[in-house]
Amino acid sequence: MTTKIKRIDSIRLEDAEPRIFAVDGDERRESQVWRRKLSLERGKLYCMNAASGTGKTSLCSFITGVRTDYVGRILFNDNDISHYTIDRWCELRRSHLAYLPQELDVFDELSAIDNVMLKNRLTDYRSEAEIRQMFERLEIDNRIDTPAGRMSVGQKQRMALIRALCQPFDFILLDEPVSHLDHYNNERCGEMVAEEAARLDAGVIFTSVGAQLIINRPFIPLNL
Amino acid sequence: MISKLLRRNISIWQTAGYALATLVGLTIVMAAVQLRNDVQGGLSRAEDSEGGIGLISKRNIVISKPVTMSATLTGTKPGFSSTDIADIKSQKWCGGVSEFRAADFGVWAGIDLGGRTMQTALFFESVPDRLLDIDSDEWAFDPAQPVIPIILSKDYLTLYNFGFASTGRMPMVSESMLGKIPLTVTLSGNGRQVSLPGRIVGFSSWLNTVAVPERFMDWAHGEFGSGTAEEPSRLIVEVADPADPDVDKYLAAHDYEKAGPDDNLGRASYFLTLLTGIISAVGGIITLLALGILVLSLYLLVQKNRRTISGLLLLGYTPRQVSACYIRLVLCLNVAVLLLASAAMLVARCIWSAGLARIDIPVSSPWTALLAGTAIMAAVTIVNALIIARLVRKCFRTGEN
Repeated sequence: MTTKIKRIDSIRLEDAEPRIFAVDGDERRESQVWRRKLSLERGKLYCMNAASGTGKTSLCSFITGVRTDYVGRILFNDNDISHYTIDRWCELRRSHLAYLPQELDVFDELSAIDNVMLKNRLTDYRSEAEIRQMFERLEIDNRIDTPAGRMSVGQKQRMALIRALCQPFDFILLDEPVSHLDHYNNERCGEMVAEEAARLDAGVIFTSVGAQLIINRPFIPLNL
Repeated sequence: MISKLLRRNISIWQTAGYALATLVGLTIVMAAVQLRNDVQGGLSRAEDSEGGIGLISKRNIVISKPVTMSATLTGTKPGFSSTDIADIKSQKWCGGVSEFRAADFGVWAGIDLGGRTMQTALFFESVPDRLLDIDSDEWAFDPAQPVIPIILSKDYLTLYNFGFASTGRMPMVSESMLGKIPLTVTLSGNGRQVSLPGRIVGFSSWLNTVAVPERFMDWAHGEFGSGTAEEPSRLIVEVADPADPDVDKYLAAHDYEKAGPDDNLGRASYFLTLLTGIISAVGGIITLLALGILVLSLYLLVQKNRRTISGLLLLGYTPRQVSACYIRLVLCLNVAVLLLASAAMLVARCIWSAGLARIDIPVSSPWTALLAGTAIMAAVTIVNALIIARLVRKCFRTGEN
């Protein structure tokens, strides 16, 4: 069946671009990511700056296997990800690729803690005490038992970040992670991501349209 | 927790609709199978109770040549020659031919009825033991301790009871009583005469003879037989389908007469099979339609929960883990439906068993119907599981342009 997946050391894009762009033949766009050879290395931080509609979310979806509608090639180490099976993607999502989607994908009917436990139970990565500490650190511990549906977007964003960090990873993808956070909370989130990435020697890819994750480590800005 | 998420949007009405429709369909199928077994069993018992000892296979027919005036006048016996037998054997529909073997020694039988001894000249015939539906222990013959088991034509008993006995001079006897009456059989031939005890082990309505075991016939021929082989007057022919028109055409063309298990019972059994077949088909169609309802409901459910399913898959849950939740649900539902349908079938069986008991037909074991129901629900569950697995896997990739 599925062989044990080893570490992802690099994510390489080879002339990749969303199929829709290729069909449109949009030549105006000057991108540092699409239609180029780009290697995103483990241990480094990348910030994808972009205007709306330039394919930030598409990039995250391609890298996490949610979508395959791109041209060119995307490789993990030297393996073309277009050949990965569903089971392989599931394993990658549990142990190698952490992802905070823009839509957050939280379950409104579950409490904040249950939303996080849903992931943690799968990975068995952290103790509940640790998770509660993370809630405290991001100052949403008072909402821990509140159904996610009754939380503000900013609170949900922080809760979803904690959930994304409840697994081992080689790369973490954060799609507009702080769009609804104030400067203070943005910094807290940035710290937490930077610490965890440093501890795991993992790569961080975050996107932003406006507010950008405040992270106290050097990162490589890339224009989409 | 994952089941709590996934079970959202399950429509009680759709689920209840499916469960009810499947319950009705499955109950009809199971009840039809049970009814068929009960009445079929009853009919073959009817053949047996009317016919007593039956042929082991209902596909056997007995044929004979008609007795003609010229045969009577010339004293010839209408037997089947080896050419006749070879010709029958060469027919497409013929699976095998066995002969009635007549005794070529003298037979007298005596019974003691309440002090009055009745003696009569008798004849014996044998047919291959393997063709008779009788316990081999009852049908055994041992020359060291000779007791002759006998199967008597039911017609003979009827003739006696309603002919001789009803005139008032003789007592009427029942089948079971006759079985208990000691019989003395006197065999003679080759200048010897021996009296042996005989026992009537059964009655037959279609076996129009006094039948004895083959082994006895072999032994008695050796002891008392003249050694001249006669042509058999009757044959048992195994046919693939007794209703095959080719069989009747052949018999008519050769002027043979057919005897055997009651044709009407055969027809009744055929109509019953047809009828229960139709009922089963209706039940099957209802079950299929119910399956259709469930498949549509599943499509709808997965569609409604698509975001949840995609969210779970994005967290790293496998499609198998997600499907398992729905499959468990369908399995529970199907098991419940199967149990209810089984119960309904058993209740129905109770209802008609009273009616059948009135005509002396006991109900048969419900295992075949239960097994059929289980097999159907197992198949339905497997189809459900495959569909669920497919639908969930389709949620893996989202928002493809």
